[in-house]
Amino acid sequence: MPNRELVSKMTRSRGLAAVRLVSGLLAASMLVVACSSDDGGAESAGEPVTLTYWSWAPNIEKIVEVWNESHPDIQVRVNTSTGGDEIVAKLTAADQAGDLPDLSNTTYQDLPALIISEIAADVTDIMGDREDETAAPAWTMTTLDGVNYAVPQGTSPMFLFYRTDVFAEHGLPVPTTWEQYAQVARDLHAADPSVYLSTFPANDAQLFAGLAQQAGASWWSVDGEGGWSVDMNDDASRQVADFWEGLVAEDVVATMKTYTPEWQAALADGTLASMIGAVWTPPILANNAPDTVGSWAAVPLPQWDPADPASGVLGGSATIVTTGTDHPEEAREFALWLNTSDEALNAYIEHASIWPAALSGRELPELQGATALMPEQADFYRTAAQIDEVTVPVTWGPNVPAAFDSFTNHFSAAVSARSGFADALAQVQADTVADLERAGYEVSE
Amino acid sequence: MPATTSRRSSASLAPRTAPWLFVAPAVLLAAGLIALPLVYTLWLSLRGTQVSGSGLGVRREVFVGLDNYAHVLSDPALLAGLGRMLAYTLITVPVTMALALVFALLLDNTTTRLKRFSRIAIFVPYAVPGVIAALMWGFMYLPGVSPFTDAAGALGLPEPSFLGPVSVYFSVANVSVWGAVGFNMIILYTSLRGLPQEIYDAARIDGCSEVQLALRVKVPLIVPGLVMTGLFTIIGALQVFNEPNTLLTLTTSISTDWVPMMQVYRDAFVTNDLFSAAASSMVITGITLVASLGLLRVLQRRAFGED
Repeated sequence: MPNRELVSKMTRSRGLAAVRLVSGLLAASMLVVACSSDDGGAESAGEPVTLTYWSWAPNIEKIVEVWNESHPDIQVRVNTSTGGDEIVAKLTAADQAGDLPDLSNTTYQDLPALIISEIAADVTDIMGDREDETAAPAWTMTTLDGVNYAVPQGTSPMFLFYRTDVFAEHGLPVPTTWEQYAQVARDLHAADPSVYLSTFPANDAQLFAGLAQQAGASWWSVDGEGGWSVDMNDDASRQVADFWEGLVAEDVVATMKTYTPEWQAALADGTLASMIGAVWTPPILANNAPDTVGSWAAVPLPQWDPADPASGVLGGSATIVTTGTDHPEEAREFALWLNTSDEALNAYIEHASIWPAALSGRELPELQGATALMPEQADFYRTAAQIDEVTVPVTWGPNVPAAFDSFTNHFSAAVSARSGFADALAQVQADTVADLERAGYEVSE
Repeated sequence: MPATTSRRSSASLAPRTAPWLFVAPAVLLAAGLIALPLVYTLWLSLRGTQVSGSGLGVRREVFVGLDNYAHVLSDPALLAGLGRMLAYTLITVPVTMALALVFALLLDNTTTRLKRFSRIAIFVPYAVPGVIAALMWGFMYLPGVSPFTDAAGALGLPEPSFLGPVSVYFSVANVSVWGAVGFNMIILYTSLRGLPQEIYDAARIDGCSEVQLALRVKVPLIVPGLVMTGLFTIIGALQVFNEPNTLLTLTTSISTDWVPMMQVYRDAFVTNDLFSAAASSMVITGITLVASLGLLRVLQRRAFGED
């Protein structure tokens, strides 16, 4: 069952522009509808309050239903028409129209944009004292300048998923360093030219960002004087770019985009023998390659320095209370319930899937066992918790979509040419800085 | 006559108000659906964001004058996109028009068989939505799932590359040609059916072959139809979006700013820069308007002898 992170991915897969266009139109029409609907705002005491909540998670209605049944006075209406990758544009439009929902989901990387547009409201009231009860990576990404701006939903520890049967057939070791990973890629492709260890997908800037973070990159940071600094072309990012350029130039990894029919076929027919993913990946693999269920295993990412293990961030989402709500108290109460109560998290596990940011949720019985994809790997979630421990703190900037778009374009060209990864990275840095400056920021590089 | 006089005087206002009533629906629709959005887009294109305050700052909308236009017009990506759009147009328009004309002439030929079936078969792709068509062709282009790749492998031929740096233009054009030929063919075929049969009889009596009849008699007579379909095809090509934007998710050969319309969409809905998107929209609207009006002027003079 897909969870939110998965869906943000799936939006891109089916994301087949059609979906985007249709949801674009939907948003436009929603705007019109929203403008004409009368929110009232001033319900008299005793009348039930109705909150609107934007989310793209499948089956989210069923989880909200649990709340609605136990809270007759605070009814929540879910709107699932906005995809994860469009949330900033849609919320900005709704903000301009003066019709923000009361709550919305957001990916972690979009949160800064929502903060500076004054869409995400301060939720320090309910989150401020929960640091000890929240997984560290999620805490960092929802807190800026000591203020909590969202209730984190999950974290996304990164894993290397690999086909145990393919590795056994060719007698390959499971790589624990990137050097070994490259050697396995060479050996595997040499042993069977129709098989690749993995693909380097130019469309997945998020994946590259995660790998760069693992190597020590910090793409955005708030500098002392209150401006942003952007550092996407640093040594760590270049190291990661060079590493993959080498593998692409040697033709020992594939270059197909992920979440495409070609990629689905490659997973299903064994052309791809591994995948770098996160805790939310197993249901995706199980859905795309049902015949391979049971032949996968997951290990932490290979390391640059095994003595000092690190991991990056790949996805994850949180719930914001918007500045446009007339019922901030009720909205905050719901946001907290949705992401931290056993009741809601159990419903998530039943109807979707989740690796909760709320530490108490990780004790739920369903998160002690194995996943459907890897029935023999009982320690999957324990490993996930350990990876969270070594995940580096990440700060996303206010223009992540622009940076990721630039990444996709420049790395698409570089991948097609099988060279020029370093130039592409320099271009991404230049584009990202230019975009921030255009928005009126002081940027230091 | 007295009766007429009285009727005229009682309805003395009618001649002045009636025309306004007749044009009112059109004027209202044009104002509401064309003029208003255009003015709003113009307004947006003169706005931008400014960040103020310390720390993270707060983003506010401000008036920026022509900044967005300066940004858009100096953006090499837009120029590159226009170039790609032009290349695409140069492939699509002649191929679509030539195929549509050939099919229409063949269907109009008395000796052609299976006319009804052929007409429907050629027209059906037009009924397939552009996005679906692009997806369908996209599957056939992708090496991993393409039946052409399998077929080439079985025949021992080299693997065809549909999404290479050059072939991608033809692959994108192919999707829209496939969809557009049927529609244009039907219009041209209808024009041909509207011609009087006597002309053909006279030409045949004079010893005209079927090919000569088609080229020397039929084609010159349906020039107005050709002008109209040609213009629609050109405007369609200048607005190309669906096909490349759908293929974008499948291949690294298409960027998110591959053609200007994709750049507008990207700016408005992905990178959240509505103001640049508005400015690019105004620029593209200007180009399309000038191109189509200019073309229409030239063609009208040639084709219809109008001024």
